[in-house]
Amino acid sequence: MLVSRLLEYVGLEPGRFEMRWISASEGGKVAETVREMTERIRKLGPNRKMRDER
Amino acid sequence: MKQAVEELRRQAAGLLKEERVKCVIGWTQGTDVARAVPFFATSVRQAARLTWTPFCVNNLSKYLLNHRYDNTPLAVVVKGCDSRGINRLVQDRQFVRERVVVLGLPCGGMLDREKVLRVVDPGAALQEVEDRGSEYMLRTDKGEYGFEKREALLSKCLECEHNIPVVSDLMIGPQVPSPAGSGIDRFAGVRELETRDPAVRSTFWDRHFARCLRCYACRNVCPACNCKECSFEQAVPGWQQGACWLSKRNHPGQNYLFHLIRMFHVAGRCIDCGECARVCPVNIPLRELYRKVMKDAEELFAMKTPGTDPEEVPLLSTYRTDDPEEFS
Amino acid sequence: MSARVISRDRISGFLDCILRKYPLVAPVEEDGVVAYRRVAAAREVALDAGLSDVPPKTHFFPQTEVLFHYSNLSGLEIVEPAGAPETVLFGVRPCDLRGFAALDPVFGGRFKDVYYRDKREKTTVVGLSCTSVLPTCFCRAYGSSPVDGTGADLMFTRLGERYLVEVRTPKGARLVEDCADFFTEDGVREAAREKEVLARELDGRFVRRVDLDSVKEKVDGMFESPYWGKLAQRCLGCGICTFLCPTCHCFDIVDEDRGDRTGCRLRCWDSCMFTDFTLHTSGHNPRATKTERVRNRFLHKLKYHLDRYGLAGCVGCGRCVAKCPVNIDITRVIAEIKEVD
Repeated sequence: MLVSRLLEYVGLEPGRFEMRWISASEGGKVAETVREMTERIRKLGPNRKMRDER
Repeated sequence: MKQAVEELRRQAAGLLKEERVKCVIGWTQGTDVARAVPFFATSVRQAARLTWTPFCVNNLSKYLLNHRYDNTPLAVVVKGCDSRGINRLVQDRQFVRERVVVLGLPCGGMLDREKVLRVVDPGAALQEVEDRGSEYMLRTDKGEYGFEKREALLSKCLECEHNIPVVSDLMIGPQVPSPAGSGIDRFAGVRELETRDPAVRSTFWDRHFARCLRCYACRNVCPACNCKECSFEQAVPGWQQGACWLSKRNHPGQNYLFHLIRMFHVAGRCIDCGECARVCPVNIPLRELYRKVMKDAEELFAMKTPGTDPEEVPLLSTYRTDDPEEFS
Repeated sequence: MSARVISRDRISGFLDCILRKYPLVAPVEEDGVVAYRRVAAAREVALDAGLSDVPPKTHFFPQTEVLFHYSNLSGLEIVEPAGAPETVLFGVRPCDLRGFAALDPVFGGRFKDVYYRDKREKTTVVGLSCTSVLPTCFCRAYGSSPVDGTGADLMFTRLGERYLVEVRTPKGARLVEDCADFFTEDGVREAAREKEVLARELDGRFVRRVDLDSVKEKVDGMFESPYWGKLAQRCLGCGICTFLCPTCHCFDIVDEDRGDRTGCRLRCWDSCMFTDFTLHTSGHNPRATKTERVRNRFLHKLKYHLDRYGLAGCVGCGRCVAKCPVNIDITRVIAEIKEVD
């Protein structure tokens, strides 16, 4: 809770960071969550804030 | 403050004379009128050079770490905010409480040196300071100057939470009223930033972090930063580590990461002494960063300012079954 | 040495004239911090900001500089950065001009540093006299002054509503020719006299009286002095003094591998105040504690640079005095050194 609030405070888009509680037995839920999240992040585009640019 | 200065010198001299401590960590007059400097008195003669003025802004608790691995008995002088640093170091098992004599000074607030130097010649010699409650009177060899506290104190002092040290073995000098303004919202600065448009907030921090020199003064002055080795010190070069996760290069994105990593390392442990923001050579408002977590933790978990209570466990090292959560 | 005069209201026109031909690096103020940056328009320049917080050494010796990129995907391939363009560095104060002079033999002596030399050769340095003296200033102790143009190609001095412009080198002359419309030769002699008056006036405003007499001889024998240990007690080991110093030049070379056989080699500022500064691979550190590190900094400023190059390692800009969080004040150190037994 502290992390997500802080990240928004320093200017990260809401939705780029998320924490879920999933049991080891809930394989389907893991896959579904990752899929959802990947799609959402793809829409947000690359994270320019903490870019590396090595 | 004359009475407190005399008592401080007397007590320090006593501790040194009776060999209860080898060193008293305090302040002495610095190299201009509006500056005090950390001072390590090791003799009765040196104890007479200790001072207490509204410029004693340095948090001296950090210096206990100079003696982390030896057995030197020490005394340290603390203001209210600094005293939370003593609890921090003791809770972090960096220092045994019994090894240090804490000399506590009730504090009427610290003056903003920039504001004072606009009026007073920096070369003037400070002779005496009088705390008149709502103002300070500075007597120098070049005249007397009055400073309204409301106008001239550091902003952290106007938001003061503990002007009387929360931990001490000896309280020095008279009790003085807190310099905190009545009805002041301690987190006003954070709340103001929170209400701004996310894009504005984003460019605000981008601008500040891009300026960071990575001099690590914020880390080195911080009593919560007491690791023996720091993750930012990378003795192993990148090509040996594979891809390293924080570059030594100065780059906006990497500076961002540096500040956020440090932020999380001190989350729930930062004592809000404000030293990081004071020392920053490029004016990054670091206090507004660290206090964001402090404010949220106070609202969500009823956390007290870390270091307030000697028995507390840092917020992120503990849990209660009724802690709020947002997992879906 | 020839000279010109430019009126104050034509300065931004002159800067825009430069910008049409060259990249311009000049002092910029942001959140109360003055540093030198590439600007896109004259209005960004903080003309009257006084001494910058961050010195202009950042132009010749940036905090981070990529030396080359490499790729080892199909045979080793190395790409070096393109050379620096002809650039104008505007608004350099006299102490910082001295700073460049102190850096030149480091990067252009026995080992020629192409990265530094390239920028140095292609940059026209426009100096700017100070019009005030800060309480922390002590350039006077090093034989300089707030109006000393030594090291500049062009030297600007503000005198009320106009500037005296001294042309000190062919590079400076070329820049004046490039933007000839903005300058006049009328009133040059009078302005030069006014500059002398200003110089005398500023000379009387120094608060810090720093006397370097016999300091070098004294520190020559002070390597083992317990003084350094006492001084170091309060040092926090941060990099403020070294990073803001116009003559500090230590750097670290880092290889950054992306983990896919490509990456880059870069150098970034290092500080003798940092714990890992001279840490050996073996784990041994010849400067193991704050005492050795603080000693190194002051001996570098007061002795080593003189021994090596015959130049002072300090220019008296006073930045470290102003910004040290624990008031380690080199002017006080100089005074105390004389008192040490």
